[in-house]
Amino acid sequence: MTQLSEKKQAIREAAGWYAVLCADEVSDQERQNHECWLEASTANQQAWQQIGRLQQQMGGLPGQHAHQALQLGREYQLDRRQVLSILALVSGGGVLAWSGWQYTPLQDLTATYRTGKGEQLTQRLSDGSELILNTDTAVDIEPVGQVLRIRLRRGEIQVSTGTHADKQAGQVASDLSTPTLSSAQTLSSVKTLVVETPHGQITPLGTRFMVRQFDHWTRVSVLEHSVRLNPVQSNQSFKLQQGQSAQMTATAIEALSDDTGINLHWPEGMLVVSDWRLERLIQELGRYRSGVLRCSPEVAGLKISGAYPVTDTDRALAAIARALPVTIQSVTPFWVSVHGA
Amino acid sequence: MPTRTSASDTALTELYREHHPWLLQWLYKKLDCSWQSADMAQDTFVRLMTSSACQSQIQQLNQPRSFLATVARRVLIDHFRRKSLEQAWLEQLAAKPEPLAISAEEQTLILETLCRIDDMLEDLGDKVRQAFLMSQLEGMKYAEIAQALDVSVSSVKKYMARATEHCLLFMLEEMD
Repeated sequence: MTQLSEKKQAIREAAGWYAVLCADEVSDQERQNHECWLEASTANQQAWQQIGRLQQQMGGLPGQHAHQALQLGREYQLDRRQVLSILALVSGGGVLAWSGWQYTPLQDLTATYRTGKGEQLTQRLSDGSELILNTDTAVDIEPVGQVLRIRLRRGEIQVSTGTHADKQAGQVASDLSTPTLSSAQTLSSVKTLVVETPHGQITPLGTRFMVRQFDHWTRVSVLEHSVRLNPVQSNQSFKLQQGQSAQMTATAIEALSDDTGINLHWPEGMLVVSDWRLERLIQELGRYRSGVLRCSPEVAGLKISGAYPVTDTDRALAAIARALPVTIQSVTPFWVSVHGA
Repeated sequence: MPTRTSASDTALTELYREHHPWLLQWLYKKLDCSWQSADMAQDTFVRLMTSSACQSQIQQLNQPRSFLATVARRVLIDHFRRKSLEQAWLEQLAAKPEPLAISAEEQTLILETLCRIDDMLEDLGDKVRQAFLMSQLEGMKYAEIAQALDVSVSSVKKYMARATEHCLLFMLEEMD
């Protein structure tokens, strides 16, 4: 027997023994036989040592979560391999006419829906879509002809358009009992939905997506299907696909190559981060609480991952203090800082 | 990192000079995105530089483009694997009711191990894979696994043996 085939034979036998010894009940006879097998050759011993290494790797994982992540990860991989097209230039669209947009705090008073710090709000819109407002957010909803316009004044929203919102909620709005496309068009209540920010317009193409407004750009993340983006001062339009995020300024769109810096879980009340700088995590948590939350420079660069409830930032801070060499100092409930331990 | 000979370095430089633009285009067609194509092309060459198996092949290439495409495809698949698993893992974290902070080292280790296990189990059938993970990660008994997968206990034992053998062979190949 060649050396390689001897190794392979030992591996096959070792795997067989492992399956026997992992069973719910193992007899003494089986244990003895395994011992004999192990003593029979060095190839057997080497193969068995390899099982030890395999076990060690598996043992380092948090069991059930790891299994579920592996299972779900498999599905996502199939999706990703299919949807290889990521950001495609769709067409020239014509410069959009915009009424001047200047932010003044007074505009908030006319907003149809608003949330304060640490609040979230879920709202069903007249076209059957579901709108979720994240913390410190203001939107105006305006029906303009056949278009339902959502003006994002500040903050962050998630929109699930009609059919998606219904599918997710497991119910169908009675006035919109899933019409076919042709009958849908004849219904006066059916509207196209667009989201507008000072930087541009986002048109869903049957989808669930998130929009967050920053001072100089708007960030869009597509969770299902796709959306079309039109920067306010550009005549080009871009299609953004499921799983992708982009930053839109008034003149251009930049795809974000790495979307792990974006928390997609706030609608479930969670802030989930992977390998973030502590400074950034503290800043993000700060969106969800009133007062000052600051991170001192000596610990700003520490890296951290995890899942934190946005509804209870005090508990989130306590969890951070357990994982990293930092202390949380509250001068008052409205003035909290994170220091080196 | 494997030691590189100057011959393989020259071959690699040549490969880069002659076929990098072609690889970019090939990736662009697949990804439809220029920034990502550039990243992936870069990763492809990094893999050529750091893999000893690739090193020895580079010096005697008959069809450099098909070789490059094979390596690039592998890079893409690994990239998708990592992204997908990270997304899935974060979703698991999100579903936890308690806040959980994980240090950078732990997170890197968990993701690397997940990628590795996923890679190892890639070619196995779903039930074999599931049975193995249920037993090894969740500590489920064979009887429970049999019920969950709707198979007999003796099938579970066979699945376990097959999955273990598959993993060991994977490790063996890696060592060579």
